[in-house]
Amino acid sequence: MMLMQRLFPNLVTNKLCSAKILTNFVLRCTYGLNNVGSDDPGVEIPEKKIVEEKTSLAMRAYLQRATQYNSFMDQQIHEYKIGKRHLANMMGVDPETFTQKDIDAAIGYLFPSGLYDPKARPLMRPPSEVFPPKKDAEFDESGRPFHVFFYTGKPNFYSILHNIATKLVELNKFEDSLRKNNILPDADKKLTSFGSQWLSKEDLEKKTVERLSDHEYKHFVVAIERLLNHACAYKLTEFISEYQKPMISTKSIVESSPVLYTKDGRAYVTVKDCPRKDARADVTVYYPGTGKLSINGKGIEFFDYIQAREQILFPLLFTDMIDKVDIEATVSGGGVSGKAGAIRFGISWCLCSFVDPEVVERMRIAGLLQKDYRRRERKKPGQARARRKFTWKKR
Amino acid sequence: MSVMQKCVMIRRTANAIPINYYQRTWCSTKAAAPTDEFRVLNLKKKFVPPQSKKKYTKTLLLPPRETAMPVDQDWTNVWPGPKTFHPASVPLALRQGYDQKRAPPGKYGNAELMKIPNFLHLTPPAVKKHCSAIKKFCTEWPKGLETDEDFDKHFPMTIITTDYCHSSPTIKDPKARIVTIKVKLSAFDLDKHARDKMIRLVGERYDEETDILTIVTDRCPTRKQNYDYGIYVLTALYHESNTFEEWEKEKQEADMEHYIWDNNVSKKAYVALVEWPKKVSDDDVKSFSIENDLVGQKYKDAVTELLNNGEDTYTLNKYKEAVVGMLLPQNAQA
Amino acid sequence: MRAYRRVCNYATAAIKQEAQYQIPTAARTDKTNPADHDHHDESKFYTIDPKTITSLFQMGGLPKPFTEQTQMFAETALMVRKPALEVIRGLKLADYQKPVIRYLLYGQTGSGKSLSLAHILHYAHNSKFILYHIPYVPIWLKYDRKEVNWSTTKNGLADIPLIAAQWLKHFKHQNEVLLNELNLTTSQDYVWSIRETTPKGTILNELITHGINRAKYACDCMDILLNELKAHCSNNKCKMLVAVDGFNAFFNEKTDLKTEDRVRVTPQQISMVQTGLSAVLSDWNNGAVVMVTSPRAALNTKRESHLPIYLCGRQGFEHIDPFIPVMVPELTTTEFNNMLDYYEEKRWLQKTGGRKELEFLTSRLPAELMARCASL
Repeated sequence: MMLMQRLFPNLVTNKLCSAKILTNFVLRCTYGLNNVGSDDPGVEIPEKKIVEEKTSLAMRAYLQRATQYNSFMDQQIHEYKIGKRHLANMMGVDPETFTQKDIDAAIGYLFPSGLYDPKARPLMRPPSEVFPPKKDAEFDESGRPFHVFFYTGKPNFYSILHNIATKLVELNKFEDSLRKNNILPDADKKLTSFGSQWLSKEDLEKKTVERLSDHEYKHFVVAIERLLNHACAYKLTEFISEYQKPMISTKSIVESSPVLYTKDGRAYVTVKDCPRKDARADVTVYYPGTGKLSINGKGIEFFDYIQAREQILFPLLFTDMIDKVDIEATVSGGGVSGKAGAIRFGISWCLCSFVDPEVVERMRIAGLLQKDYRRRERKKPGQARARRKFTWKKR
Repeated sequence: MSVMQKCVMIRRTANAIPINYYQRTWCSTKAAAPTDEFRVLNLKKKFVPPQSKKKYTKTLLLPPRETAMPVDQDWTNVWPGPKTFHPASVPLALRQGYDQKRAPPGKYGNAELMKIPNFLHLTPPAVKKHCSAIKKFCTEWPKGLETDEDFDKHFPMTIITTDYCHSSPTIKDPKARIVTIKVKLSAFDLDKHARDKMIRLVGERYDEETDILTIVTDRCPTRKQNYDYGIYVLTALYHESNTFEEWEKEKQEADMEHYIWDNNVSKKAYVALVEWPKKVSDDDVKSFSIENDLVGQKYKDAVTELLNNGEDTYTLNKYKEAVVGMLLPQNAQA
Repeated sequence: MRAYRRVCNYATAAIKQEAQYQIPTAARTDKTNPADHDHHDESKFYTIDPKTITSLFQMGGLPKPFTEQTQMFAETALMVRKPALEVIRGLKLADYQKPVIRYLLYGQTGSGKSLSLAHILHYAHNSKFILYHIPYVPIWLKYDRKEVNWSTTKNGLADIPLIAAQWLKHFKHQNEVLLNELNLTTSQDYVWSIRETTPKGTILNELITHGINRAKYACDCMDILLNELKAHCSNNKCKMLVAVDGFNAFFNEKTDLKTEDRVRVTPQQISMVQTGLSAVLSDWNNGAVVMVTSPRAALNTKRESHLPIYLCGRQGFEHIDPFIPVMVPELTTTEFNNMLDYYEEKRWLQKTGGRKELEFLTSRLPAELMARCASL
């Protein structure tokens, strides 16, 4: 409603004024542009008689849409807030301490959906998360745009570029002033792009709420790289970090199971439900050990197949722990190769707790710590096997 | 003209006139009161006032109930029982559905939300209410029944029956007559012979690991009859295992559940070894005693353990020691 | 896999560069007579000269992979191990006036039982024992042979004439010289048919020759031979060692053999099997019995455990009770290393290293190790 005031600074509520009503700015309905809203005809805004102003139909329509959207969003926010209070009341919880997590849990309890995709299940989120962001009205009723760069077509994007250019000029001035006093810019503080990458095109589009072309995105990257590589760029770390995305450290993904201790003080780690194809294994590794191996009560003779034995040997050999640990495993399901793979996975994960982090990183690169998701591909009709087609006969 | 006036038909409403009369007056141009004058034919169109179309009066929809709900209401009164989702009665801003380009649809006109079996009638306050309402019918958990062992001690027998419900015209299911009775054999006070006989009698119905005897009866048409029969079988089993029949004396070596050295070939071999080179007969074997024979005792224990407890490295080693003591002369034994 | 091999190779290459690689020599013992072996010689190799090999094992007794290896290395080197030494010690110190002592070697498949038996046989041969050696029982019972006849002399039993004749050849080959020296003779007349008799007093060698020539009577010949030998041993004229490999096959549930009338025979129905079973009875003295049970000799379905009573069954146990069970374990660390040193000495393995891997993969079973190091 603030926007209304902005739009119509000359509002005159004059019941006696019989000025011609040129415009149809009666904001009666609150339907969103996506046509998804409550068909609640209750909210009625009184008609306001407006002084005649020169506005084109297109502009009028545009402004109408913008105001509609804003009021729609306001209503959604209002509904959400009330709904949140109602939900807290329903669940018998204090509404003041009702977080989004609690909301999700409560909705999950009240509406248990069996749908596979989490995005398809019922949700109650703040409208800002649900609806994609849209721009406010970009010009007023007389057609005068608000943003300086409106006529570029993508004001937010070009303002970013403009800012980068301005800041570059500033930095140059600053560097000049330093050099005048014979001070070199601090080489230690020079910024690098290590550990982070620039926002992707999608992210930038989301940030500016504008569609960008690849060409424009390339411009952006070139510009900000130039800013970053400036010697005095450390002065603008905050500004630059807005457009950076830190790269996820993959090391943090590896979480090991807790290390427990037997009565005698031996450390051991148990990993349950290690999968490979259809086999599942529970593996326990005892750390100060002598190289004993027991699979379902038997030794390595459990596997007749050499390849299976080598699979189990691999993690131990890789970390050089063949005779330093004792292994106890129970495995079921699947076939020979599946069982061996499951035990290998379990051993690798258990060994993570007993070796150095560099070795863990090497194991990860070797692929020992990754769940092998490959399953048998189904046979398709019209083909002999999963991929093999029937023999093609010319006649 | 008076004739014209008289001949102009005035249609009267059907309610006032009995039906045959109405028809007559409608069909004919005859006047109600017969006159002697001629009938006059009226060719002019009758003035029919235009029938206005039925005006479509938009039914005034009241605002949905949710807008008038106070935030601190008692929800259990709003939704007392299981009901399909009704968007106007649920004051939550729910959304469900996935469209790649659009936001999830709201709750009005959303069939997916109606498909979900909702639990709005079982919110935590509702559950609390239910519990407090039932509480006055509940008694305390009996003392002396805290652990599983107490259960087994006081209630050793478990009776399992199943009820089935159908959405078809019949509500009866033939499987409902099956009765399963589970008892732990340790609950009966059976001596060794009785226990062994009981296990032999029931065969596969006894589970050694859990010591549970399971009797499943379904030979009678009703559940009560099956239950009675199951109890009867259990009683009969108990009494039979406690009695000793004459023919049980004819139990052969192959039927033995335990290995008893004295009755076996092993003793004969031992006796033959000791008595070498004399030939040994069965009577000699029977009369041979190993009361004072340490080596023989050791051998007997080793063989019994080996064959009763199963074979593994420990029992085999024990057997080896015993045999070495028997066969090899003293100086050979390391 | 390639990544890890590369990494491992770098590691081992680094170590090699530091120390000069010296070809190791396997620990050997010079005593060629097993009678001299004692606990000092444990885990050491001793060689058997080729003449003994041909005289003892020409027709069976050594496992096939091992014979291939001996051909390759141009020498037969057996490792002296504890179980064989135990049995030999028992044989040395036994009281031969008492009934025969029975030993049973048991262990996992490939743990070295047959070769231990070979060691014991060598000792017995050198100590002038007559060798009643059945190389591997399943050879009698396994393959679907054409010639299985119902015996005429023994009711209800079946004969396998050709196999019996072959075995008699094997026996003769092993014991001909000794029998000539001992000059043992039959104790009574044996009438084979109207025209053929073996009169009382014939040398046993002739009896055996007769059996070989006349395959029809070979099974009966075997039986008679056994009884004669037992009698002679009981009379202190000679010593005999009965050695049976794959003993638990006597107690299998079925065989692959079928008679001419397409009847499947069980092992207990075969006369040679009955002979073998009577050989291991302890109703004679001046001898010893060494049996070997192996899971490989059992049926495919009954190989869960390698323990003797599981393999022989209750009936088998009662037949041989009392016996001394001797476990043949996996190689100890010294024995394992010695075996690998032997391979490297012979330049069969060109580089050292990877011993821990081999230990893990083969779980230190000698036959497995041999198979792993064998040619492709």
